[in-house]
Amino acid sequence: MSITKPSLTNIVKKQYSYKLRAYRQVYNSLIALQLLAIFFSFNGVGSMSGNWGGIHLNINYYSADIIIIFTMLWGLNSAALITTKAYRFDDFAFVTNRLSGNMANLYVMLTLSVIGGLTSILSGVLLKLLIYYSTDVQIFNDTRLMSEPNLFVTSILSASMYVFLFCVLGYMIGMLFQVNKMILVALAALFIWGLFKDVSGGSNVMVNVFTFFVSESSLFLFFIKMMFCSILLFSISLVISNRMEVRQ
Amino acid sequence: MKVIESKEMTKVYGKTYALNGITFEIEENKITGIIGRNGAGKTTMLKIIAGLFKETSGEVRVFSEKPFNNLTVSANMIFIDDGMILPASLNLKEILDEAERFYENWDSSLANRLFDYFSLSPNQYHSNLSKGMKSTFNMILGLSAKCPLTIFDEPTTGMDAGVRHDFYRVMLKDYLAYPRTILLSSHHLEEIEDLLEDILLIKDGRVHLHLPVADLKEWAIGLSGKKDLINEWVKTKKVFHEKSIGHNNLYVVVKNDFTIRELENITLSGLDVFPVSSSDLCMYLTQKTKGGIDDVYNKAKSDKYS
Amino acid sequence: MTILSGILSLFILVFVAIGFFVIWRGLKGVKKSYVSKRYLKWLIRVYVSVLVLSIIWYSLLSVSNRIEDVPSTSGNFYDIAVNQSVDEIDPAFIGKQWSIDYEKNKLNIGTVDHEYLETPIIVYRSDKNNRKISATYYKKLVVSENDYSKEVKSIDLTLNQDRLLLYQPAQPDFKIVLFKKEFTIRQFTEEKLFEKREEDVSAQSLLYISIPKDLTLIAEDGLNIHYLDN
Repeated sequence: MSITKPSLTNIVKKQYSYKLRAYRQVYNSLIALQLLAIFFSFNGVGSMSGNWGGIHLNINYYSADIIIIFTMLWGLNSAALITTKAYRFDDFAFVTNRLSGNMANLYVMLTLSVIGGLTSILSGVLLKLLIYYSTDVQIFNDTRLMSEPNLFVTSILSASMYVFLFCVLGYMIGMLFQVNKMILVALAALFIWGLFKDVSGGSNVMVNVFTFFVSESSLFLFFIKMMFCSILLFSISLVISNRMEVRQ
Repeated sequence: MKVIESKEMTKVYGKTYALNGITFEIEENKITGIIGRNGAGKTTMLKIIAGLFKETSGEVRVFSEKPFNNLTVSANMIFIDDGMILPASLNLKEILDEAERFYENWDSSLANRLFDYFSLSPNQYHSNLSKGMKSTFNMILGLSAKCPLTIFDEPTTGMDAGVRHDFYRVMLKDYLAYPRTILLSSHHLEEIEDLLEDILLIKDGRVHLHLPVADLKEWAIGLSGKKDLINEWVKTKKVFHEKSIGHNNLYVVVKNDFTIRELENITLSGLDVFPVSSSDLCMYLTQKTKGGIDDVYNKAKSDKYS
Repeated sequence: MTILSGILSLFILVFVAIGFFVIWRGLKGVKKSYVSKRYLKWLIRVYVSVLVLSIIWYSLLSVSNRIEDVPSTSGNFYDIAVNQSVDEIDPAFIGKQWSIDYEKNKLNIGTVDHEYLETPIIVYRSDKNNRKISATYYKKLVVSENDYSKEVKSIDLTLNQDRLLLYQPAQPDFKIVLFKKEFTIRQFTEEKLFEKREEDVSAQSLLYISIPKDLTLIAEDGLNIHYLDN
């Protein structure tokens, strides 16, 4: 019997489509989480009423941020799940090596991020529609998402990037966890240190990390920051996975 | 062509040697049985060959490449064991479909026929199968992949005798139609010995024997008769097995390097000569003590009365 | 630590705590579960079509709701009238105008039963004795660059012998839903991430009355009057 020489790209492609099918239950949790987030968002984030020169206003504030935040956490969890033995060993049922497995995981995470980003923004629209029909409002501010397609697309893109960052973060934490279970404790300690370590300007390390992403108002720079951090986190995951034996 | 070459392969966990210098070569298109007791290192060795584990030291080549983390080895090899983890979200039919995408030589008609023969249902999930059914399904995967190197590590766990018999039969037929290199480890040597060409006997992390099955059948000989007489004959030989029969009689198994004349003399001196079946021999060879479990019991008894 | 960074820290703490919980549950190897393929297929189909339908529906909805060309004046009518000139206010905000000939020298101004009138009033004494009282009611309700000023009911003004009667018709509560943009878009627009956007809503009214030079105006209780002299 002759030996076949597989090409890496070919195997990665096959693994990618295989993993998408094998992980399809993540969509179940995505839908559940987004519906839950819609439910939480339903009460609004604040209200205000008053009288402006004889004009009585009753304002309710709503935000779809929770949906995106839940979707980010979903990405974190889904990616961490991929690194657990139960799922990691799925690879080794068929043709694989560590590089092809990691590459396929990267593409899977990218796909999940785009799906997550897209659906989180779209379910925000669903939330608006639900609020529109469930309250007796006269005035409903349009967030201009529809009338400005470029903003709509930007919103989906940047939501996807946030989800992707969290996917890669979850992937790295998951890999670390597979090597040493105490890593979560260490990360928690690092995080608490970050909250109490003041830096100049009257904030702390964690706040700076947070604002590093969230306060970036240039889309281009935001993209660069996101890509840089994602590549960094994924490279760490690659290095860690190289320390692991394939299947035990 | 040599499919597997291993020189001084070792594997160390902490301070214990699971493999302690394994050296052997396996030629293309042979069925080799890997025999050894639990803990001898069979599984560790097979997983290193499959590229799932990394050897601690030594040189291992599969298709002339280092197997660990190797895509070529992975694509041309399938490793089937009872701990196979398959995606929980895919049903059996979908798993077969996935396997078809991955393995170039996949034989879907064989897979479907075996699937029907063993009455598996396409909508079942692997995790819900019984142990025997799992093994049956894994076996279908292993055979249908038609990989140049097919490794079965205890493939028959949980299967009932009928299914085991069917499995070995279909394996032999498929092997004859599409010859390939097969490694098969099993506890039941008597069931597979007709199937095997070679035997690789592993003991304490080393290769104890590596020879054709036909030779193994004549490799050792059993003698029984008066104790003194036997001791006289086997004085200079390594006794693999020893068992008292009655008060004065003894049964021993020794390596068969007697000349024909010597054998004649043995028979003439009043001893009985028996062939030793391969499975018995393997059991004797891999035992820690000559007398086997009997020794443990006798030791306890003699301690008590002394 | 500033208040903002304190709030941020709290937010991050909650967020990360939930993150830890989520990842811990995931990694603890909650058993590999499978979801029935058929159920999942339907779930995804239904969810995707609901999302697609809602975006189509919503885009139809928001188009019909839109009033373009928001008048340009920003800032407070009262301040503009006092500091600059009432002419600076965009005429688009004019709700109603009155011009009344008045010969007498004395005028009372008030409301029914002296009820408090919330609309601020500016009384401007002109330098002419033209025997004319003119009044303009300005109203504005703009929500997120959409103009709803027309929905605000104007006050009524009638002259009853020597009494100018102001009457505020029953004004409904405007129920407004303000959607904050997603934070994934807020950061790229000029908006601040954690600010409540009060400036999204601009609501005000003003009654500007111009009286002849020598008219004596007697204001009754319940009015919020500012006199502007030449």
